[in-house]
Amino acid sequence: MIHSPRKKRTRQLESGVVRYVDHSLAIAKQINIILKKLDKNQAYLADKLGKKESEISKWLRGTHNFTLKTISKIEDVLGESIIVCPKDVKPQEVHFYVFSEYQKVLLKDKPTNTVNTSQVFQSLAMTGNVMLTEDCASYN
Amino acid sequence: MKCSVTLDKLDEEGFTSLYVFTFVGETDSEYSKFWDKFESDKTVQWEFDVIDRRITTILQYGAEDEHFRMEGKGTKALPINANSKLRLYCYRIDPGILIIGNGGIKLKNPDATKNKTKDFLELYRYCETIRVVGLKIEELLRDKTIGRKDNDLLRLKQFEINIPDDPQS
Repeated sequence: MIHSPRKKRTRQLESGVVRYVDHSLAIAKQINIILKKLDKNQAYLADKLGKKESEISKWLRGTHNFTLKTISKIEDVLGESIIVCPKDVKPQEVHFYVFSEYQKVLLKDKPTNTVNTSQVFQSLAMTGNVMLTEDCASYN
Repeated sequence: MKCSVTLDKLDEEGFTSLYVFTFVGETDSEYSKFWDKFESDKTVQWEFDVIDRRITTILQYGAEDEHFRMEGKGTKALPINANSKLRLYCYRIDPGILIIGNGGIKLKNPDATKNKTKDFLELYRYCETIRVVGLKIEELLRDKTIGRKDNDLLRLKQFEINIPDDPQS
């Protein structure tokens, strides 16, 4: 293997390039995944969008610079989201394991100081995102 | 024009091995020349970086056709984006093996093509050269002069290619 010029870059990649390339690929992949799941093909999408199949084929190569308008139209046809914004993503589920009301609370497997678990639950309950079960509470 | 080239593995990751070729008697591969010429060219910085990132993606996921712009007769180019001025010519043996060559700025002015300017001829030469190299590798793989194990080409030696003459201006 010879020395690669790619490994002796004299500067950083231009800001945004990585995201641009990766997003282009991810969007195309996501459309292909949904089409496969729906057992539909590019011809179907072309027909529904009033485009030529060759154009859809170009879009799905993973390099097309999609406009939001186009993405929205595709989402509408497929009946599913292609892109998801962070605010739409549910935070990772965290379990609070409760041993007794006034004993230790485990947060992400790290024991915290002894706290009044009732107070913790009351605070969480105020957010409306707490589910209490017999032995644990799941924060969604 | 007959000349000899050597083929070397440049990089590998995940699904694809990247190969470059060097003319015998020269120290830099054609890809290195492309790199040295355009890495610091601010007029095509974005395009250059997109090509580089795309190569990273190809290495990770495979050299599928969808990554490339078709240049005809088996030759491909990066990036695929139609509005990119910069082109890097490639030849894809299959998703596991990609050969990259040289490239340059493609002029959109039809007069440039019609009058066969120096830049046009240079790009034409790069495009033809990678095609000839790619076809030669395929031929050597077929007659088992070159072996292959997964995405590694084996028994790589110097080989001769015949690059077509420039089109008449």
